[in-house]
Amino acid sequence: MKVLKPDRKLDLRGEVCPYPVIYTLKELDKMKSGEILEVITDHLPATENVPAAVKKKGHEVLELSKISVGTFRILVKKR
Amino acid sequence: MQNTILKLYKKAFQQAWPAWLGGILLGLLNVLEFAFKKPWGITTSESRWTGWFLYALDVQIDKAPQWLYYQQYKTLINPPLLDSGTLIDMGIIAGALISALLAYDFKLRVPAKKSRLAQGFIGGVLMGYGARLAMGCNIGGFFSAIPQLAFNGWVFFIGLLIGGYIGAKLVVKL
Repeated sequence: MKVLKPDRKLDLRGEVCPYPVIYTLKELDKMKSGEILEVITDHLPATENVPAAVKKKGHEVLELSKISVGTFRILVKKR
Repeated sequence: MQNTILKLYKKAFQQAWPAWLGGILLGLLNVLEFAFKKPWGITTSESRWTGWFLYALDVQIDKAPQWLYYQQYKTLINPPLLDSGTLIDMGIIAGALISALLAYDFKLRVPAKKSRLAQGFIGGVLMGYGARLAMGCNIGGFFSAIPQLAFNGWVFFIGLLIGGYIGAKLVVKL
């Protein structure tokens, strides 16, 4: 299995809606095409609305996984 | 067999239920509450908490004319633990805790940005004030009012749209 190495990391633990979506999109704006962003969140609704928002902008969600109790990792590849 | 049970557990307790299923269940439960006593509400009882707190501090909320609000809302008619609205409010918190524990999602979350705490506090004050001004929150003034064809529910809805628009513009700047 290929291990994906993120180019940038965003630790959004403790942030609730709408901030996970806002910060994720802002960070993607600063990145180059093809780069990978890792988002760490412990806000359950963000595991639905962050992937939905980045897909809507045409980016690719590479991974959505639970890394510990109530904490999730989302990997996004910039369009 | 073990696999099937594990799959069912995951589906029932770990994954989010579809919104339509939650909506149907909430609607049915509200009909049940209406049949037993009155439609679902949250903040009328929460405002009674303030009344009981003042009463415990020896404030004459049952007699003094400046506390007419608490007399109109029959604050002292039941002790706190026999107030049905208070029991429902506590049940919601207990149910949410159980569901988070079953999903392995229970965690103490602290925002890194300390201004979020002030934001939450100010938002809470505005919500409490608004809910009393409108004689109900999203639940009592909207979710429970519209199925009863109460006109105030639709007026509330228009206010909700305007307030939601202003809030959404404001919150991205904070």
